[in-house]
Amino acid sequence: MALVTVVDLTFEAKQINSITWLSAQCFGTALLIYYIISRFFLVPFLRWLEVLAAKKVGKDVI
Amino acid sequence: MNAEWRWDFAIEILPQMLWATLNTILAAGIGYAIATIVGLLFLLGQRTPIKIVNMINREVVEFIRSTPLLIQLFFVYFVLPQFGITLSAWVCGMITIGLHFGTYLSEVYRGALEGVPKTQWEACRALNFTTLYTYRRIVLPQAFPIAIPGMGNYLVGIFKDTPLLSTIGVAELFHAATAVGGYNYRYLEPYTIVGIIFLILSVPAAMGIRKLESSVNKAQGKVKNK
Repeated sequence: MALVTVVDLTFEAKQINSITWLSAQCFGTALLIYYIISRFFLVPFLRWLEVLAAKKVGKDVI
Repeated sequence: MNAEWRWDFAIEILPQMLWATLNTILAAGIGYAIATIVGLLFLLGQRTPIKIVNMINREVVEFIRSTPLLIQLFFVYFVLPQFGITLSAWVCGMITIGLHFGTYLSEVYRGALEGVPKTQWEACRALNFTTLYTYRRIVLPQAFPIAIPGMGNYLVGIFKDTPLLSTIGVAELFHAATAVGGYNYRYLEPYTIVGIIFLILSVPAAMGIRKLESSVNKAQGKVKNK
């Protein structure tokens, strides 16, 4: 979405990079934030949903 | 800006767009070739008995899969020169696409290998086959048809993600369309042509993969899945 100027994380990282030219810090931080959100919030949440759904239909937890 | 479709303009820009299509196909092809090899390397990392290598491999795969391709492109393109590694936009793009989709392909390979029944391994061990022979003659021929659909999906996926390369200046199809649009201040025709070219290339590719899958299944004496 950053490509069509929606102000998301990628867009902000690009903007900060164009002002400061600290590419490693800007894009590194953005990568880290995406990773943390995905690895520690989204994936565990989806696993929990999976377990919940499996329990509801009486299946064993995978 | 005029929103009316102009055939003369569309025909005028078509050769330029078709020329850029070659770059897109080339980028997708090279990216896919790198991804298949990187995927195999990640698979080897997963299957190694050394636990620490396993763990690091797992986290690297998770990290690459959890982060957007666009930021990875920016990271490789803008950060590597800070460490004295200056690569062209093409090379950066190919490395990033290869790494990104290599992680996905490693999961496809893993799924395919795990799809081969354990009894096959046990039978090979009982017959005293070597590991190499077991892989080459027993496991891989059975795993390959399982991997084809996933591998095909990612080929089309890479092809559809090549426009992201335009953000670092790779002159592929989308880049050419943006340039033509900016030069003539008309975006309707270039972007429509881009969409049509992608459709024309993606649909036969998907059909070809399905055909390959069914012919491999037929060759192995399996009933075609509907």
